[in-house]
Amino acid sequence: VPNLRGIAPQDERYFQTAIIKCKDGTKSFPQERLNDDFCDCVDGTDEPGTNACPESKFYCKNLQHRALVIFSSRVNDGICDCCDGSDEYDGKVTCGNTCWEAGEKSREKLKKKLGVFKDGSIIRKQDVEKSKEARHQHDEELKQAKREVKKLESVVDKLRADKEAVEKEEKRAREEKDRIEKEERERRERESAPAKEESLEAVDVSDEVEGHAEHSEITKPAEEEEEEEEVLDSALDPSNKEEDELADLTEEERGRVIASRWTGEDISDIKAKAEAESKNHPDSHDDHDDQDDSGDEADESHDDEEDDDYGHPSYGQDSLLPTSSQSLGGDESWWSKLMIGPSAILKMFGFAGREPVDISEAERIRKEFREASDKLSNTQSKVSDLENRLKQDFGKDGEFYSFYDKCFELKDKKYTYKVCPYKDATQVEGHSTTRLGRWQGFKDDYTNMVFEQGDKCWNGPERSLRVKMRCGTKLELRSVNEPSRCEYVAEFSTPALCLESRVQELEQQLVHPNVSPDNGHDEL
Amino acid sequence: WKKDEFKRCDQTIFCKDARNRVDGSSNWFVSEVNVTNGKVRARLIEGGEGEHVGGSLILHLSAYEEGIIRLKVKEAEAKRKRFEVPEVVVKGLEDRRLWIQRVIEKDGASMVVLAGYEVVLLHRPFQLYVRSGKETLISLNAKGLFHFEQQREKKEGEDWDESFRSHTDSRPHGPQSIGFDVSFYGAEYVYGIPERATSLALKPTKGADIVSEPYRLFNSDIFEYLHDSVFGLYGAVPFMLSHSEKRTTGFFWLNAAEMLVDVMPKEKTETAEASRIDTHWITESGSFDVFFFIGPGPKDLIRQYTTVTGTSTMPQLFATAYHQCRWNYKDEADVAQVDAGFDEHDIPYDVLWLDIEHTDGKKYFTWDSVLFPNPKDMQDKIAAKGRKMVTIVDPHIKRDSNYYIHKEAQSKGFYIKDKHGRDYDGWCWPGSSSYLDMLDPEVRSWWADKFAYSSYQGSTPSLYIWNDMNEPSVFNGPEATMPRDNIHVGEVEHRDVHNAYGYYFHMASSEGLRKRADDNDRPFVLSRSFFAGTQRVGAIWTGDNTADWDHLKVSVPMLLTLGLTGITFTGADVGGFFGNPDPELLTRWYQLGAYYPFYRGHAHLDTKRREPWLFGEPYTSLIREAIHTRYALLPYFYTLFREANLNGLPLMRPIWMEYPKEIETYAMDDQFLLGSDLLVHGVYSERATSEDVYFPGSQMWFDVRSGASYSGGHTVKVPVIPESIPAYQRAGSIIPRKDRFRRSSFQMENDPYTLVVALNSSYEAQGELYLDDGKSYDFEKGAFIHRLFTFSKGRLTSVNLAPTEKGTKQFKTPCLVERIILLGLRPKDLSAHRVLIESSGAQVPAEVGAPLLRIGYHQANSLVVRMPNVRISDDWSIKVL
Repeated sequence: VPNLRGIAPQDERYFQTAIIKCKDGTKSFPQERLNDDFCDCVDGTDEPGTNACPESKFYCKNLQHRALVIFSSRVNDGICDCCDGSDEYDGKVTCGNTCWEAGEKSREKLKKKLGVFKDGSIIRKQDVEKSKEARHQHDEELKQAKREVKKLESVVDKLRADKEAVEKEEKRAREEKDRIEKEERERRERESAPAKEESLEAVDVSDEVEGHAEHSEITKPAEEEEEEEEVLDSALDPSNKEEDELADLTEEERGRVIASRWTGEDISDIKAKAEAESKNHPDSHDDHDDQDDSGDEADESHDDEEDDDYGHPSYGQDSLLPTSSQSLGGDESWWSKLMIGPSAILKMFGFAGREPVDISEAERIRKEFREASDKLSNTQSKVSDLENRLKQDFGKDGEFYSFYDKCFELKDKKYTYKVCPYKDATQVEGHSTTRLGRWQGFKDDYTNMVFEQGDKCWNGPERSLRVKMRCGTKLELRSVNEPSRCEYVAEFSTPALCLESRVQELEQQLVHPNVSPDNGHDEL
Repeated sequence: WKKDEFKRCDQTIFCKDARNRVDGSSNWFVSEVNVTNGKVRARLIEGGEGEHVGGSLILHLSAYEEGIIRLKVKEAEAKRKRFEVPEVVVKGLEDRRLWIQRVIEKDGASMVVLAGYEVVLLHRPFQLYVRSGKETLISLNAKGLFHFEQQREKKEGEDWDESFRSHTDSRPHGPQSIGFDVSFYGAEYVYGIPERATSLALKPTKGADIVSEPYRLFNSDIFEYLHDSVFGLYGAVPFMLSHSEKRTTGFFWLNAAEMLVDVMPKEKTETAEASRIDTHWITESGSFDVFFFIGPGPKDLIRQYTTVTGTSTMPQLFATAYHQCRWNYKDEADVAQVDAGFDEHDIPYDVLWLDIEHTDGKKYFTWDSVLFPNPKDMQDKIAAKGRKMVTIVDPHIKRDSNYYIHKEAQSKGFYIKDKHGRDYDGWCWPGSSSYLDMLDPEVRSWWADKFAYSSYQGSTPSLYIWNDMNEPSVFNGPEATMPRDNIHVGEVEHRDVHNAYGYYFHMASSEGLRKRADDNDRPFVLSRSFFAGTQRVGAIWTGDNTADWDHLKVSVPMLLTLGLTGITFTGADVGGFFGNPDPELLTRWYQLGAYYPFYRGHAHLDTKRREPWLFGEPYTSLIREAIHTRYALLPYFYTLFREANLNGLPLMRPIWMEYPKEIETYAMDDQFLLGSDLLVHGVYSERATSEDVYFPGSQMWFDVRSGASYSGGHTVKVPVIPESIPAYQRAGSIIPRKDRFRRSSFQMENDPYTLVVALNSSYEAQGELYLDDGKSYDFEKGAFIHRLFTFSKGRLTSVNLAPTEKGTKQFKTPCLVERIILLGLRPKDLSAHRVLIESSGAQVPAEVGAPLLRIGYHQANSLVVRMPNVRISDDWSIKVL
């Protein structure tokens, strides 16, 4: 009778012959060498029940719970790995059979999980329906907005023509006026006395000025060169600069600056102080200015981007934003005026011949043109917003459609984390906001949301966030961690992950717990 | 690396002056030579022909067994006693002193004749030569650079202050530097004087066309050190060796002040027979107490040096396995997750480390109550799998009036004082910090008590210690350390103690672990800083290296150098501390690190996570394989650690240590020997497909994976595979392995052995195995097993190597030999048959197989004896052929 320890029931037949082949086909061994505590097959075929083969796996039946396959390195290592205790049989430790308890526990867990999946899948279904409607509505809105754009484009074209006509007239009038003034001036000049000497003197003076200019042209480059050399020096030897900064610091501040090399602690306060105090050193001061400038730029561009992403419009735009389809036709007088056409306007304002242009009327035309163009561009941006929304990936069933304009928050000890799918993720501490990443999309079969290219870490990478999603009845950001510096991982529950198919799988598992022996990590 | 934050030689008066000194400028002569108390005593007088212009010095020359000569020079009337570095020279050295009977006066020289060599003291000028027959081995002041600044009163208006950057050193005792030249005759190269990242064979720093700083020994916390620099790093051992075909000699200066050493290019001597390397040694202060070692062989030399400074302490078995570290494992959940990750991926590890963030505000011996609320439970969970944990304990003490360590230290006056006599206050991780005066034995003893389980709250017997920042690192101090005019116990200035400070701290911590377990558990304390003698205390690592190929490569010469200077339990951070290694570099590092004596993965706070399974396949498997290689070799490693413990021999050896006559190996530092039986060559570049490996000796070398053989005396371009770096077993050796995979070394305790017998050309081989309980000091009382395996005339035998008289304790093990692998058999002997266990009369099969149980390795080039199942602790013989 072969020693079948550690072998899965479905594999037992393989070991019934007198000569057994190593599964990798390299050699074969007689049955008495099965589990004889010596490794004959490098793939571990002959030692499923001992720890003799590096590559073999041990199967524990774990009746009343779930079968488990463990590394053979765990067999007789003094640690109970299988709930039935079958992995420890050399008598050094006694492992009780805890499968029933473990099985109960696991079944409880499974039931709970199944409950969540069931409830969640119902919510998911509803959400998917809602998404379809919302999507349909947005499609409609887009169509309408596109029509409006078309309309507005023609309006704006007309207004532009009016404006151009008016402006042409204005220009003509201005040129006429200039011509008259010029003639008047020339006339006056002819009448006044000749002043040749004066003009000669003026030439001399200008020569002198030129001489000065030449002189300064010679000296200036030399100064510049010197400055450049200094800049070069400090560029070659950055520590010099730092030394200048450090020199003005207190002992403590110097300590903190040095420590920050390792830790990445924010020492901008000290740096700022060092800069302030080294204002007397003009060379280093220049460098700092450069740094400051670039810093400001970065800040500004950051702000800009935020505006773009969030689409916070300014007040002026806000009032014009065609938030609903009614807003367009509302203002009848404005609308009718637009319909008049350029020639009528010219007439209306009485532009003809040398009549002075009515400035206020021209301004009014320009204003109306401006307003119409604003309206057009706002409608266009609505179109692009909608297009942008509709082209996103919302999952297989559109189950993530509602995520588009949602943000999810979690308050930690110190920070508030804010995850906005399709946009970005941030970490807020007081008034300072750090971007953890921009939306990159879903990964791993819609189980993860990925945000990358966040704010750069001091001495480190750009921040990034991976949001691991799992089935839950509520939309909830559960936790945020930073396992590696500036690489964040969040856990997030959502009905979107409660798939009908998984409900069936879990039901199966509950009925036949031994079906999937490899599924030791099923419970997350 | 912030070069400008550290002094160049020309920025200190003593170094600049010394370096500018010309040959022959020394003007000292010897008088009043006599023998007292078994030592030669003489007076050194400075001056011209006869007249006495300077002060006078007293010289003592003594000799010890086995070729050790000691020379001490003191001021005859010292204004202030010069600091002599305590706790470095082993206590028993005086017992080995030879009683010098007489000196022979001849031709203006005094000569002491010893067994096989003589010491010649030339009177005018003062010079010292060690000779063996007609051969000069080593000399002092042959170039006339001996210079001894005697302490004196400050002259009217004289300013002794010395400034560097924003710091001023008050130098209250004035100039007191010492300098001299030492010449190594016949030497091809000189080695030693760690710690720095550079080649094994020391390149010249001074001479025509050479522009270089001298080698510096001044323990410093160097941020982002370079991979090739003469600059000194975290530790110092003022010990230099020279080697040639004929002779290995050495020189050691017991002095812990800032030291600089210039190496001159190799020069022909007047006799034109042999070359010579001159070196120039300079210190700022401290004593003149030097040792000459005469070899003749490299191993003799190491034995001589470790006779003076001690051999390596015996580590616990777990400490020789793989360690997983990161700055920082953040909290208990993180610890549990990393621990589980190893199990999930079947990768063994023994120790999980916690860096500074585990503490409450960088107050050592405390825990962050939010991140680590249940440290004991956490350790117990890890310990349940036979694993250990390590926490960091640094020497800077947070000046926080609510911190018990600070309160006690302050009230007891245990801190180092500043020049005004106040507790020195420097800046380190916790912010404002003070530093314990570890020179003071009372402070060390007090500190040691802080490791008691009752004192260190949250510590358990499975917790061990890591000492970092013990140079000491002071962020806002001069050269990132403390001012040299700080004051230690006995009014000793920090300048005198500096290089030994980290050693004393390490010593006190180690003593603490010994004390807490009533001398029943060998301490494990890793330190960054070190000094001569550190080998008696614990392990060291090469500090904050960088994740690049150059740093991977320089780790070999760095560790080889440490081994040559007595410090054997060493490693470099696997993966590189700073930066993110790509998976290939990380894998190659794991493969090389598997052969470091100390094997730890570590990473900086800012780096990406790099636990071995985070890079996907094939990397997870490759790293698992590298770590398994280490675990399989643990019996061999442990045997080597015992050899280091007994004889001082390093585990990692330059090729020339085993093959001293092979000149081509003298500067070789891209490959090394682990013990005498394994030849290892790292892979130091991306996508390497081959490496040039030099096979020393005249015997074959067997690839440890494939069994392929290479004959000695050649350089071969060997193919490189992703699974391993080139590693070979010497023909004529027997290496014990444990081939079963486990969670940690703990579970391997009773696993059976594999003996890998690599036959030489006469079909013979020999090897040893040492084992004990892996934990306690019972081995010192005889509780150990030491076996000698010999293969000869077709028969493998195991005999006892341990002393026959029984100790007071015994060690027993049920371990069997499950497999014997024979490499290098004649083809006709390479066939399946049965072998006879002569001791029991049983017969077991021997089958043709491969030297390693790995998928993909099916070579049929070795004979595998199947389950002889003899006890590892028994005498036995097996007739194989």
